[in-house]
Amino acid sequence: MSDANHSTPGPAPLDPGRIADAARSQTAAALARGAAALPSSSGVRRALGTTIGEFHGKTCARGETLIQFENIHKAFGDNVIYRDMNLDIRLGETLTIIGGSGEGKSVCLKLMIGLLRAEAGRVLYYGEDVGEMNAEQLREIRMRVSMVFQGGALFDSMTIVQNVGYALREHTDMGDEEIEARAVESLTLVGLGPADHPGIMEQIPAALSVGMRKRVALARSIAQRPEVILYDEPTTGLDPSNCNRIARMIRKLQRELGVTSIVVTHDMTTAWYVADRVAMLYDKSFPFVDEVEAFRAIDDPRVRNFIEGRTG
Amino acid sequence: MSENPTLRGALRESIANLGETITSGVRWCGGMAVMLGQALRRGPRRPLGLFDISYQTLQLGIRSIPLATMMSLFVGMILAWQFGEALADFGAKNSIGYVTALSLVRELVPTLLAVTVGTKMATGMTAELGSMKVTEQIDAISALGADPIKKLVWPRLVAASIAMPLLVAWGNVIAMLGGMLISDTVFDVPAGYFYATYIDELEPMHYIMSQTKALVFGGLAGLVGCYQGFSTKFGTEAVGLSTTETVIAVSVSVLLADFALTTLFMPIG
Repeated sequence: MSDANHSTPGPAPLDPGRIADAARSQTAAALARGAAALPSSSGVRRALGTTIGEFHGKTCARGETLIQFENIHKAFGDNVIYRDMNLDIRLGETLTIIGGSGEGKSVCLKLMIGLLRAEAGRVLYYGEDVGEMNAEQLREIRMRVSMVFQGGALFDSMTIVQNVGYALREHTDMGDEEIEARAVESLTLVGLGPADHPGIMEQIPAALSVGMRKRVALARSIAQRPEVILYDEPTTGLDPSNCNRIARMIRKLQRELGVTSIVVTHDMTTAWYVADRVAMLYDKSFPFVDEVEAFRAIDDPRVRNFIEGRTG
Repeated sequence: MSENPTLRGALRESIANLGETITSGVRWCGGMAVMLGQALRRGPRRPLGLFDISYQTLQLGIRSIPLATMMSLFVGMILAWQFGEALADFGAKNSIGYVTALSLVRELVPTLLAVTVGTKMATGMTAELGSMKVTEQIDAISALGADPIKKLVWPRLVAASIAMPLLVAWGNVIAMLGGMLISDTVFDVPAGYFYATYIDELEPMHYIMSQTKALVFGGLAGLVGCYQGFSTKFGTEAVGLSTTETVIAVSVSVLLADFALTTLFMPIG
């Protein structure tokens, strides 16, 4: 991560004029760095123009550390979740976090966007401490780092289009038509476009299957074109075919939108399929973090017991 | 003299339990005060969320009209009947309007509606927000960069504070009609006379007292309902537990607030 010579006024609000400017500045910056930082990686992202690898005048090249956990200590009362935990997340990668149930994998995701705060240590995003951020700074972060919750967490009282467009309605001055167009794009990206599913836009979440709800949650999280997507057990409770669909979706979004993904799961099939690197939570920290192939070759019994599902 | 160790242990345990109860009570009050402070600080910022406030006001107010009407009608009729019987023994049944007016407007209508309608509003909020909490929808609002206090608490707090005074005003009219009905049909005191004496007894301060109580009770119901919803733990059982606690919390808070407000207003009114 390095400071850019030019100053960039934070994440571009998603209005068309600024999007075009941001796209131009992003392209220029990428060229200036010899395309070291991740440029717009697809037609979709180029058209939308959100900046990846740039935040508050700081840049981060693909493969460099984007989010860093530094000596994190977190506890709920007497229940210690993390003790001196360290973990790096690199720009553009998909990191899968595995570990036993109730050990605090989801806590890690919530620390990243300031939904929870650590008692000690720092969570750094572009070198800025998330734990020290005020409400406005957190809002800015949350527009760049979105989260897909375990059960989808769609708003029951809203239609699908309202759910998907929620963040845009809250934080941008986009009109209803623009928001609807963005919702259609996002739903299409997750395979739920109105062309294939007529009437879906006006349905309420309760009318959809669990798998579809998870995909709508995914569409909601990508509607704001984030830089990072956090997935909290995206395949839990789904049948194998839907698990496969979601896993392919995660890969596709990384490819088409160039997002960095952090996937919390204990479904090992999904973990191997989507991951570039795997981190295993064990005894309140991440003692095992490695590329997929290297991770699969780890001979430590703690890792083998977990990935092979041994109970001994 | 030898002390009984069992008695000493039981005493120690009782004191420990009492201390724990007091601590959790203080923590609960503190939590509500923090939420109220956050709502008052963040709520009035633009956008004001007028749509959400209007929607909640309509939801809370209109859905509560049937219950408020029934409660007010019956309390008006019962009070008029009770007073009528007592006054008839002294040959003073014509004073029925004078006597019922103050008790109904200053005390019974606002308090009874707060305990019933207010509790209904608060439990509705707790159940809704509690369900949102356990399904992570409140976290999702934060994760999408919005403020749950501003989006969920502020509209409900304002709506309850608007709806309750409106319902109490409506309830006062209905209670008077209930009293009028009993006065005319049971005690042969003409409805017109009952009305004249009823209105004659009331002064502007009595209406102010009634509406102030309604405002405070409405705000309390909204605050307790939202706080209980937000502090719901995990699982659907927790939603039920929070909702049950809300019933007790609203009832007790309303009675305590009523006592405080009556103490405040008595020297004036």
